[in-house]
Amino acid sequence: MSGARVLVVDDEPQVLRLLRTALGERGYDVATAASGEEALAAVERRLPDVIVLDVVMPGMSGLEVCRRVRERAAVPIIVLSARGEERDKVAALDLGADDYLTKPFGMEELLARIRVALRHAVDGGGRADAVFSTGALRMDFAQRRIWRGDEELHLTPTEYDLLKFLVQHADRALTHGMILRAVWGTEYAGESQYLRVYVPQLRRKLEPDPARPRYILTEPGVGYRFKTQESP
Amino acid sequence: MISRPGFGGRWRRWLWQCAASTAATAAVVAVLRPLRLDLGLINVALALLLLSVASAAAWGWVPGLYTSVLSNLAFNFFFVPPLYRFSVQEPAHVLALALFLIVAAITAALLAQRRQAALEAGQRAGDTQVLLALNRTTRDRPLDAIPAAICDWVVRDFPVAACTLFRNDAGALLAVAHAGAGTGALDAFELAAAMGLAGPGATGEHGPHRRTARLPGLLLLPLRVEGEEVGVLRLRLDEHELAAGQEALLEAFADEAAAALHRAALAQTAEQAVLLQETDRLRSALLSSVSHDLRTPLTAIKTAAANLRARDVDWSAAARAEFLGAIETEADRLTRLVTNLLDLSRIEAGALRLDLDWNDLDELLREAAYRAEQAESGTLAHAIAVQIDRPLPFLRFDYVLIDRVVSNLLENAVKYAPAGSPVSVAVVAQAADVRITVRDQGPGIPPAEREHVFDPFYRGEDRTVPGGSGFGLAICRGIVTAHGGCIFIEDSPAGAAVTFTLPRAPIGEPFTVFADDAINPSPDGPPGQIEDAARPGASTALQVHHSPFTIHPAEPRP
Repeated sequence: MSGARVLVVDDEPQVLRLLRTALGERGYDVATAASGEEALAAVERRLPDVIVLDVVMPGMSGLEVCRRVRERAAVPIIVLSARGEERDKVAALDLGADDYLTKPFGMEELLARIRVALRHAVDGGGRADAVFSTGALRMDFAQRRIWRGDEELHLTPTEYDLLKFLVQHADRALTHGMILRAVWGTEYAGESQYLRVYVPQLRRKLEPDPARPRYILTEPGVGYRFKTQESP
Repeated sequence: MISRPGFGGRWRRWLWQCAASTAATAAVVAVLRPLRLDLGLINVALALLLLSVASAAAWGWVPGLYTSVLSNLAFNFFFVPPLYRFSVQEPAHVLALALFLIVAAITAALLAQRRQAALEAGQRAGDTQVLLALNRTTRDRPLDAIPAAICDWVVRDFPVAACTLFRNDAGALLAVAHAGAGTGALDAFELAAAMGLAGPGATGEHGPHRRTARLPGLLLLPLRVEGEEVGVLRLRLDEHELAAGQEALLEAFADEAAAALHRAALAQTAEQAVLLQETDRLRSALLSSVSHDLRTPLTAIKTAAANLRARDVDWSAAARAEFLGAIETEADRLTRLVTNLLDLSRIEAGALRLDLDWNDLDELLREAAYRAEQAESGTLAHAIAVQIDRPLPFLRFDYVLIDRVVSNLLENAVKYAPAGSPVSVAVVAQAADVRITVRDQGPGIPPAEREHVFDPFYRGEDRTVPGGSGFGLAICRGIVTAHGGCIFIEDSPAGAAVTFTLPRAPIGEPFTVFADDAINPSPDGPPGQIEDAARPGASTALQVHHSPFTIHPAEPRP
């Protein structure tokens, strides 16, 4: 995915300089913006392939930038926010951000998230493949059947819908609200206790060790993320 | 406790005592009259003398003297010839009558004096008791509670209908406590009289000896400390007047009350001073701790970066890796420190916002344990066991913050316990709360330190363990307290055991105890499973909404 255009938005010149160097060295085409207004102008000029966006900025906040960019384009957005600002993360994801990173973050982590975001952009936002497999799991969405290794798993209809939604957005942080709206319906967006019941249930069926989940990870205070396994 | 009737009562008492004496004299005369010749005049006289002495001893000098005169007259009239006349035949009898009267009067007076002395001694003891008791009651009370205590005492121990205590607040009188009938309001007359006592002119115009002011049915007593009027005690009197001694006692009482108020005010000031001092001490501890803890990683980062930039040395790959590793590690340490500092200041400022939601504690604990294990490397890492006897109910808490608490406790356990030793997280669900205990096999926490480990910057006597800033447990306590739970060090035979509780009914919501079978519907099923019918429109959905624990399991196999 080298050569992809990354727009980095942060009000800290030091962060901009470091990210420009680090991403540029890895072959990305990096543009920077020091404020929300600059970011919108940069998007207007030339649509990037992915945006790395700081949530807390003076002037126009990252959330506002997120909302305005989403009105025009489906470009993947990765938001950066500090620990303890889970509300901001959830708000950004609900506004259409694709992922988040907690500051301070490791470079490897950021690179991995950028790769996933770019892949999703190619997929068109969600996987629609009829067959999906990762690790020992294999799902056939056309037949509504799921296997772990050779063993076929039996899921209730809701468990199945939940898993399908998670898998279709694999490797992305999904807020409780997003999952509830998609699986249960818009009016259930606040009923996060549904997930507290169903996710452990699903883990008990999918995970080799439900206490140490490998597939369905909890994003504390935010939601869940289905993690695809590197190679089986 | 003490009651001294007024003058009206005294006259009434004398009246019936004299009537009783008259009756007794009449009875004695009636009995002795027929035996007059057998007994002789001397014995009759002595019997009557005994009567007057008894009367004086029992009731005091007034009935005593009355009985003396009466019995003397009766002796003359009924026994001394010529009978039934007050005239006396023999000169010897005149002398006898005179002597009788003198002896009776003197005896009565002496006895009455003794009786009075005994009464007064008793009264003084009673007064002292009142003042001592007031002193005792007010000694250990906070300043705010003393005025009310004083008013209650006055109403209980004196014949007054109501008592109000006013504080002199820069010339204005404010009612601070009231006991008994009516209200604590002052009317214009009372105010004028009270201001005469408490106002600035009080000592100047009337002199420092002015004690009380009287209005019909009212008594205003100044509360004076070191010559300064700090307030006024207003007594609304019963229908009967106060005795002179009682008024003096009340004045002494008022002085004692003023002294008590003064004492409490001084104690409060001293307490505030101690508190300020404590805050000051904490602040300087914060400064020294933070500046040290911030400088250490900064120094390491600066040194490593400067070395990497140096042109005069050609660093080996290993050296470069070491410098870079140091920069990253120290940056992480700095991050933790800053996050903790921010959290702590948020907690101390009361600005902690809870994002409450129904959460699965089980999941939180297992993930935190998993993360803590992952954070350690090497074969000697601790094995963290999560022990949950039975499925837990959902609890309403802030997932991120409680995760901080558990992670902090696990970090501590891992840091202090010997490498490879087991660490456990045990959960017990009780009726009102859920108790989570993190136990390790480390050196433990001495009982004397258990109270202090939750104070910010406290790091225990043994400072050989590196890292940590002493915030961790302070933050835990802040978060747990905000959830309405508590955190404490348990007695443990070996190692440290820290327990915190999470209430089942979160703060601000009605408390409900869920029956065990509702929490744990089936022995092998997962907790509170919702049947798959809990989809939009299905009836169970509403139940889930109100209480996620009470759903009974039904696991339909597709």
